[in-house]
Amino acid sequence: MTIQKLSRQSANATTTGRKQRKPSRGATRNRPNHLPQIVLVGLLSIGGLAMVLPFVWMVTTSLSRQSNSAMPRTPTFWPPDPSLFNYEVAATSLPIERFYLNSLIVVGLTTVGYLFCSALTGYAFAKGRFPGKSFFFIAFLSTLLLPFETRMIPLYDLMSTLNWNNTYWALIMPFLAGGFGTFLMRQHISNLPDELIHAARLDGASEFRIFLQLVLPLCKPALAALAIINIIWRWNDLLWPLLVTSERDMYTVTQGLAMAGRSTGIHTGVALATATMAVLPVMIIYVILQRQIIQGIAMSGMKG
Amino acid sequence: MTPSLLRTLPVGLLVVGLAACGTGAGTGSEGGDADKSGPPVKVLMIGYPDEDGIDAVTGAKTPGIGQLQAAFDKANPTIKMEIVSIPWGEGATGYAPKTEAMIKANEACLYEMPAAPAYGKRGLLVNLDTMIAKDPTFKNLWGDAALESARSWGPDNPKNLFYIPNNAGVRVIHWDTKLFKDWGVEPLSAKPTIQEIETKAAQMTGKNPVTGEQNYGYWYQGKYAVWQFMAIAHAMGAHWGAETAEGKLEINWDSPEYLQAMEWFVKMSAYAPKGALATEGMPQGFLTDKNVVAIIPEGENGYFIPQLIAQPQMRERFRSSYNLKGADGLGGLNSVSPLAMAASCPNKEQAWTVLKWMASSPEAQAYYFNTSGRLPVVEGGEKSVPQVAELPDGAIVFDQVRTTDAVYPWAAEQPRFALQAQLEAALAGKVTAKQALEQAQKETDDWLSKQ
Amino acid sequence: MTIPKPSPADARPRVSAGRRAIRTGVFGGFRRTTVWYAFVLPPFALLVLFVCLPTAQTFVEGFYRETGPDQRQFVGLDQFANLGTTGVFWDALINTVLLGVAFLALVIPLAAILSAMLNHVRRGATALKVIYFLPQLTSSVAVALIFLYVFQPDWGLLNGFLHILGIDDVPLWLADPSFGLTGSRAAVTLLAVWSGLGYFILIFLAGIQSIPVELYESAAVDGATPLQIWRHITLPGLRPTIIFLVMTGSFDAMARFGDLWTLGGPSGSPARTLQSIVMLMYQVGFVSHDTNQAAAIAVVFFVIMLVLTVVAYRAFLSREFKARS
Repeated sequence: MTIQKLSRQSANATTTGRKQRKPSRGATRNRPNHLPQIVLVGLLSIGGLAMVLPFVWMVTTSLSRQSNSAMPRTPTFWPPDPSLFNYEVAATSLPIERFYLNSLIVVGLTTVGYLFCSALTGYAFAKGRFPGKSFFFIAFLSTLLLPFETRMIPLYDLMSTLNWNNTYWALIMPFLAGGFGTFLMRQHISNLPDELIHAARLDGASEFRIFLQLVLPLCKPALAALAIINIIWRWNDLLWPLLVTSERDMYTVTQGLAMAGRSTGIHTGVALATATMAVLPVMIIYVILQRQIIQGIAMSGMKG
Repeated sequence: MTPSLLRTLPVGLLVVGLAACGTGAGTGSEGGDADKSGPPVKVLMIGYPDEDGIDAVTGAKTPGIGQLQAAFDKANPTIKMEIVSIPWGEGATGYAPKTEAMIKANEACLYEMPAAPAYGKRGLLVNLDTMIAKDPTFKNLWGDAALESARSWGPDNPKNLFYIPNNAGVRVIHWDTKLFKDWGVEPLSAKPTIQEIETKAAQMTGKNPVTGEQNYGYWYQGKYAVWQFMAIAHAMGAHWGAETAEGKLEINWDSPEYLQAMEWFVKMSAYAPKGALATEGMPQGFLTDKNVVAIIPEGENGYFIPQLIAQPQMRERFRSSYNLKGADGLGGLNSVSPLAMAASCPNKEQAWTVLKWMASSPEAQAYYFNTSGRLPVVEGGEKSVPQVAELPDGAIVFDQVRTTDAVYPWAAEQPRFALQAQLEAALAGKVTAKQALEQAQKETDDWLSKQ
Repeated sequence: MTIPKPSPADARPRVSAGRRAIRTGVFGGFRRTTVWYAFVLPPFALLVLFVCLPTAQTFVEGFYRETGPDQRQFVGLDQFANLGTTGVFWDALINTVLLGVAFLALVIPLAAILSAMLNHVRRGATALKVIYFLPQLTSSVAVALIFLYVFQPDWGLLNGFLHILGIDDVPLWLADPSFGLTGSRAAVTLLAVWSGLGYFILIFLAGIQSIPVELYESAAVDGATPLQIWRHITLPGLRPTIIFLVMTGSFDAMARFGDLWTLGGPSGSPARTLQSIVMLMYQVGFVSHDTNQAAAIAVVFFVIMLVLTVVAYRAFLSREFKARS
């Protein structure tokens, strides 16, 4: 997952100032360009249409009450009987707002915690000197070799032992510390000039103050990228919530949607109305923040 | 990363964090009724809606579980009862592990418990015969046959009554009179045979002579095809096996009767819409004037009863017949909902009163019916749901509930999933019926050997 | 995808070692040593509790069998031998690998072509990127739920279009458990390509833009055609990107769960054609409640991931880092 990232970082670190890092526009302009723009954009738009049509169909079908019992045999992109009936059904049978609240709490707290832990350890490994540093660093890195799926059953047992099932603890605590974030932050903090930190130390600032007031503000770009990745991971996770939450009031949006899909699946209109309610807010946020999100993902080589 | 995100991100996270603090403090402290004294009788109920809702097809109101609670409180002011409502769920968070956890922690007295015989076997349930013996006012409203078929093996008695049925689902064979008329085919009998269905389904598959539309003679719910298969097989004389006196299961799929049944089912699937294997529920257009399937087996209560009640104009067009019957006159999936009492229950007398009310009162029967079209199992229960009696085939629907096959003790276990997966492969023509049954047998044996 | 995937542990860029050497000379106070443990130990404790110990427990569980309530017996490699003889395990493994290979074989060429085209678009490139990336941001569960209906054979969106195009003998998609191009596996591969394409395009674009501009400039001077340039400069330059995508794609494919679970339930219907190895682990562990057998599957899963990581490490680091330095 991180390989590309690693190589690009090392390349950047060693060769800053090389033309590689030129903005893409400039690079494109310098290249010979014989392909007619209209053909290019046309072809790409056909592909783009294929990307968008299922979503459009989702929304239009969700607006048709008939689609619960008699779907038209040829797809229509305008409901024959437009109404919000399916949304009414979905909203009265599912506490969607509760699912959103759960997702916001879980995703928000895991992200804050994960960023904090990652920056904390990243700083220690980048700028700290203490006996056992290599041991701890290698220990953190080795956890990258341990897939979540391998530990999920004992982890589930642990949650039961702690009596954390059906609580936010189970959805948050196992995801606060991780090798990936530590590694990413260590890389970024390593690139910060030592002189800066040294000067702060000479001023008598404690390491923790240096961390909070000097280091953290300086790694905002890395933190933002890490935040985006973590938000996408946690928002979309199904496997773990499926294991530790059985009470509907604890469902996340993704889990609530999966369970609703299995129980209302026979009513296409209601199922797609539920899907729309789960997808649309995320899409709106995406469109607003699209540049940052796409940059963050391209920068880290990670995705949801 | 651009500055705008850097500004918005921390603010967003802060808001989320504050929201978390606010709600985190609030959860977990609900449901404390300080004004009541003494422990309430807790009842675990599965799959009922938490809130009042709206039926996706008819638009009718469906009552949430709170209405059952309210009806009970009204009828029994002296008893404190509390319903714990959970969804059916899935796997780790399904009703089964939740039930296990609750019974281990003595959390409830009464359980809606599909696996009641298994819990009884472990000595965790009350033999309700002991409650009946102590109850001078007891009247058997469920019928001797129903209670007899509910009895199962326990550590100290081979014939324990571990549960009393609450309500039941039903599976009938629907048929569309309009399509029968269009094709000039004789109406389906009330108790259709395998041969009758095969002949008529074949006749009505093709271009409809009146409308010119593509019609299909037959239907199956692909994702639950195993229950239709069991009905077919039972009608052909197959039997899955038995539970031994020690409570061990013996299961045999690899028999000539099952082979014949599966081959017949595969043959019939050719008369169904092609996508049937990937579906659950009824074909698109069912109970509307767009329907194109003539014979629709395994129509479940939830799919037709509320809809026919809401649309009187469809009642004469879509009729219902009995499910396939075997030589014993029985057939079709038995889907009673069993209500059991935990051995650990501290106030058994009160719990017994609650159980009887939940399993027989007209209010409770009406509630089950109004949420999901589930039917009463007590004698005279028809009166609690007069809407069904008004349907042209209401009598058949009620009688089908009483003439199902016996309960399958493996219904939620590996043998079912093994058989279902192989049945899907056979229906898709990926393996032969013989191969499918052999493989299902092998997987079932693996499972049985681990019991 | 929900979790960080394994990656080579020893990929620290050489540069930081150099910087550390400088700092060592500047700073050497001992009283500041202990404070670092306050930084490292709390996250380390979380890691031990929620990552290391459960993983170790999986390895222990895989060698036991439950013989009764709270009783278990050491059975050596029995659970693994048992896996080897059950067709269900091999089916799940083959499904997982097959779906992964088919997905990568489709998505990589497609993304390579589309990203090359997108790189030449002067106006509207951002909008197109956003659109192609849209499914990736939608959870795999939501996408699968939509496609449950898109793939419906009798009235779904896809077959509806095929009907309009005059194709009467439409594919059955999720109702057809065959290995063919119209079966359930083909359907979920289409779904994966549809939803993953945007990410692959994005990484390809980043790769294209990291190719030194001088190469293009000299090629332009030599009068090369765009196709020649793509073939002789862009494609070789994308080699590390492709290796990276194949490797990360393999990890994701091995861990596939959410969309298949939504489409086919825990047993991956129809006829178990959509059961991935993680779904089998889930089913064995939490539906059939055989924790030890599930742990054995988890161990096998770990070994496969480890092998993939070693391969990734060799393919990427040994060749790529040498080539670049």
